[in-house]
Amino acid sequence: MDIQNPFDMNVTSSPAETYIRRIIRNWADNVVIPQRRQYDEDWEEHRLIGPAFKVLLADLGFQKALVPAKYGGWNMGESDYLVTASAWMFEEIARADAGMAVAFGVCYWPFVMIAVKPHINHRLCAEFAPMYMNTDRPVFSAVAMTEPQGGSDIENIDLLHGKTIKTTAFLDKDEWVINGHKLWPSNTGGEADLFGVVCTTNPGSTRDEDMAFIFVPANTPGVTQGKPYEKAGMAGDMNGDVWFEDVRVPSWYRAHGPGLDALYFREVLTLGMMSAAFSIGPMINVYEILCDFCSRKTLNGRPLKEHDAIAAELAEIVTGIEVSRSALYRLAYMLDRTDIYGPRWSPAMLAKARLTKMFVADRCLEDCNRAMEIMGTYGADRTWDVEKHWRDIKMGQLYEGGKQLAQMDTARYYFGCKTL
Amino acid sequence: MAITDNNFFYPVEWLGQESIEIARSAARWADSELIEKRLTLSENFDHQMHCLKILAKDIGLHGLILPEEIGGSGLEPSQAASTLVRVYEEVGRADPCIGFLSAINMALAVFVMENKDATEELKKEMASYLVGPGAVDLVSYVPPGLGDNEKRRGILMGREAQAELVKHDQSWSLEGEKARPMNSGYDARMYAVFSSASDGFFLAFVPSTTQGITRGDIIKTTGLLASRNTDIDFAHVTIPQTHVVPIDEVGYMEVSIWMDLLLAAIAIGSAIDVFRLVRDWADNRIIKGKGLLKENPMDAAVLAQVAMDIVNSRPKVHNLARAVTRPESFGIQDTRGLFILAESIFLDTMDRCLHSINRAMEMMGSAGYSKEWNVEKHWRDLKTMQVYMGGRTPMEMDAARYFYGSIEV
Repeated sequence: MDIQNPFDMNVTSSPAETYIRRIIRNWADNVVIPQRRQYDEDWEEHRLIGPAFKVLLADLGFQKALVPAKYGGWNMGESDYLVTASAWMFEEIARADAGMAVAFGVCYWPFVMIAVKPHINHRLCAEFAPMYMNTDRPVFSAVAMTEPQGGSDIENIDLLHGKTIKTTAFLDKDEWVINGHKLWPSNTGGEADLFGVVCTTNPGSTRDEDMAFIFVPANTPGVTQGKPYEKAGMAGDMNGDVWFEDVRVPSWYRAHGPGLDALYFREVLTLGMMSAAFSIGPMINVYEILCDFCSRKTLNGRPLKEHDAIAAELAEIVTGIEVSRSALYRLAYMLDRTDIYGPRWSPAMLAKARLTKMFVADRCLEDCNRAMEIMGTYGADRTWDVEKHWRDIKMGQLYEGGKQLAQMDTARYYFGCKTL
Repeated sequence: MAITDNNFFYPVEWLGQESIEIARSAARWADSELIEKRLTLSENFDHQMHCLKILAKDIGLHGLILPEEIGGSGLEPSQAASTLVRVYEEVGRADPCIGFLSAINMALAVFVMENKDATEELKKEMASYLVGPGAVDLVSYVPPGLGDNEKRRGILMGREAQAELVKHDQSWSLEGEKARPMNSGYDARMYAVFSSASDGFFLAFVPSTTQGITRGDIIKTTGLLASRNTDIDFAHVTIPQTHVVPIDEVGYMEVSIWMDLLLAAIAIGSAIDVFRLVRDWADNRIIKGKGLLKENPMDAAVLAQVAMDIVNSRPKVHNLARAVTRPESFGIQDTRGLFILAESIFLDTMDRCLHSINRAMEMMGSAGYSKEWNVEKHWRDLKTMQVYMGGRTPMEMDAARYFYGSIEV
């Protein structure tokens, strides 16, 4: 290809963006992309994926990013560019492998509760930071939220306020005793080192005060991780069942306490919608692949990219990428500028984040479908990687409550709906 | 069984009692050999080949349209179209990949058996693959498609041949690099290679053991995993005259019509199975801690779309079968008209069935994405089948040629 990749232009003017993107691009191009076609068979053991994570998380140190500087971290949680910088990273990792990007993002997710201003819990940061600092192995975190019954009910927080949560946490002197069964958290299937567990201190309650977010190290007695699920794609992210049976942790492992846990959990949900980047990164790679494929292959004797009908489809694809990307970084800006747009845990920001993720996930999947159809018989080849991205980004529509919850949160805010 | 027969409407009157019985046999095969064994044997290649053998030879699907004198049941293919659609729906319900393998071979068989230029020797050889003893011998189709910028070959209807034939006194020789079959390139007993020559286009039937054929490694693909494919090199491959059949636009269309028809039927069956899976999943699922999911209007709307896509598509596919049997009753005057109808219905059916499955996956969330529920297999298989017919744009160009007289497209 003799044209510069238009998506390599920085989306902000920050020198830090160039620096961070370059580090991750180098890792992606040299460590992940050369072997990612074997990742599907590595879903269960991560023999290939694990070492690649080690380079990113431990050797390059990205597992320290969110942690405050005073505990050895990079202090991103106190940055005014937390969300935008996260989007750079997510997009670059997902360009190589969306599953790994999800796993990477979820490593930060529970720390949104305790390591992000203005609600940093220094005692918990000091407690858990050494796990991530003093090691040469990748350390994985997980948010244990979804339960067997009810699907996305727990994420439907503004309607249900934790009413359907079955995982219980009761105080016994100065310890929480946790019991419950969670499904599908990212970075589980035996991988997680630390859980943020969404639970209730009063089953059936609709009071925010009764919803608790409690940290549980994975090696705590009573914690069991099941085997990873086999999925259509996303081999880079392991998911499985997690059981908590009379698990005991100190009382101060609760993130903030009654009311505040539920409040800041809304921020966890909002920032989770930056998963839109996990759809955009792969589409940037699909663009790169199409540049090559459509120059080499012909239809009716003309290079595909010079065939007007194909060119129209190609135009739709890059339009989707550009518009989705604009939406993502616009959202990131709004979430960073809390001084202008208000706190990230507000229904307004949750709705804006939900609709952005919903739009981006839908559009990217639609465009990946277009790419496969342009490639005809080759569109389903693992050799060209487009089908891998297609399988991976389908998940972007489904997780975090899926499309339907995103629609409800959006309608609830924009139309003042009361009962959805 | 009850689902495909009763819940999604189609013109039952076009099927005779014998056809219904054949479809019931296929349905029993689908349930007992595949659907009930999914948890342990889904996408197990040996099991899929075993099931294909039962379907094709023991139940006798592949012999249906072969002449009686070469071991078949003697049904006229065009008269069997509705029966075949009904049967392939059942196959698609169980495993679209097995349907795909069977359908491509059936379409090629129809072309050979009905072609006046095909020799008896070729017909008998093809028949032995379809109904002879032992495992199913697969024929792999190397269709025209995307060309390569560095190597130009003959172009038919915008699609480029992947191999070239040169005529000698008593034989032909075939040349082609990295030709990409549509199906089973790695396992095929024979290749049916769409080739260009100095005086037109030909379908060259080449046993895979012929000297000069080199197969690559198995290519991993999104779906249709039992159709183990690879790129093929043909280097100075000698082919007897008995195995080279001329093919023009009409011949190419005839092959495509059958593929469009049977693959569309498979897609319907596949979507019907996904409907059943999401219905079972949703049946007693509680949301918001109180109500059934299916009683929530938003979720009910999504579930309705899953079903309505099938309701919309199924009659069209049965209509296409009827048009194959009685083109005159649809006002179709020639193969070109039938071809455009077939392509249009194929594209629309694939779109709708994929839409239906996508909506089901959205409803089921992560469960729809996990292998345990088998929905994702239908999704991967159908998407693969859709692109294996060459993609949307070449078909749109066909329609532009037909309806608007576009020449350069």
